[in-house]
Amino acid sequence: MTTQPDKTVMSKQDEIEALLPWLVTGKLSRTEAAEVSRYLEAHPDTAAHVALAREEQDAAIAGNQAIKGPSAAALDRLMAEITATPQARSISVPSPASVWEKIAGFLTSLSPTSLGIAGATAAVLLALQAVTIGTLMTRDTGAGYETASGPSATAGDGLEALVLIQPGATAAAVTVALRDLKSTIVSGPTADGYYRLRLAADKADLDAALARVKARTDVFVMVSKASR
Amino acid sequence: MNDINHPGALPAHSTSPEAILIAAIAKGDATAVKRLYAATHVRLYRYLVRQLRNEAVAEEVMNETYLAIWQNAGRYEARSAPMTWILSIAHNKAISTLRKRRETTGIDDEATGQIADEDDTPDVVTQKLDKAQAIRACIEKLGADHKAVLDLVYYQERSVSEVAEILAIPEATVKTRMFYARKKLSELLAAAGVDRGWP
Repeated sequence: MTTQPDKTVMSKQDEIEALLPWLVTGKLSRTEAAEVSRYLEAHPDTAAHVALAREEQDAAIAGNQAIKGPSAAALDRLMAEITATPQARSISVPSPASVWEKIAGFLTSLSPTSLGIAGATAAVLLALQAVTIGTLMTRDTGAGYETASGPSATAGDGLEALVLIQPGATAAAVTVALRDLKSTIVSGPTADGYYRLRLAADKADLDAALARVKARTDVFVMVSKASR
Repeated sequence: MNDINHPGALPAHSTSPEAILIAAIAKGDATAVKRLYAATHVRLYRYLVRQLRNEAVAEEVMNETYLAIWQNAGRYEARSAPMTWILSIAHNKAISTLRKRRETTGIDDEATGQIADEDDTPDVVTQKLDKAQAIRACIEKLGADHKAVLDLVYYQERSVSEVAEILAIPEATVKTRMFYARKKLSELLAAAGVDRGWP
């Protein structure tokens, strides 16, 4: 669909001319808008060309609005197709659990001899995981715990939680949960797969806020108060 | 969960009504497709009609786009505005459709646009149309690439980065393409007897 090669060498005036359409739609970045404004103040002849862009905008809008909508049958056909079409398998959010599943799959594929060696290795890894979880749980009963990335992961003020995301949770499901909880992810994942959430809560409401996050078992495997 | 390492990294578009509908579609809610269709299909259909120059084909490609959304809603991560994501899917399908049409019929849609340039003499255009109508008629005569960038910016109100995402080209190319689209438009208008004073 190439009309002609997109040439790349442009004068400053041409660069500004190229940005005028976004100036009239209000879609320039703050930096570019400031740059264009400065140029137009210094070059009134180019400033007059803003009106040309507005004419083009009016024409493009009129041209689009002249097109009637699709037929009423289009939606019926679409819904019939949707009923007959399965959804693609969702992309899972990477999680530590999936790593352990891969390790398990690897172990089951090994011969008995190599399985002995790998088994010892896996035992060490499992022990490390247990220690990690145990440490987290212990600390969780106190003032909270640090992630593997340490204090540098902390960002801004406000109450925060550490969460482990369900292996099968889709990005869309996580997005919806975060919206429902009025929470944002401020960092992560840590080496052990945790994300740090900023909660919409004050100190008096912390336990209730954590409970609301924990209740979202469709998305979060583990939830704990984060230390600052 | 993009930009996860930056503070306040929840994607800006994740709480828009369309993004919430896409999230519901990802969970298998077919009625959310109807609601998303209601909210977006007019703009999407118009974009496709302008690109494909055929209402029946545009309707078919529009439905293919919503079907793709149904199948792949779980992959939408709100990195871009929902309409930008939808338009990018539709644009890819429109390109495929035009390519197939060119292969089977030998008709080049770019050439079709150029042939239309010669149908009306400048005198005829100026007699029939006022300036606004002339601009509109000349936009119709632009090639698909140039018309796409004009429509995406002026009607769909996409930013430079959003147009780059939809057309899968660098932002610098978006700007130069817009520049040459406008230049070509002025040339068409000049040929139709309308002097805009630029370039």
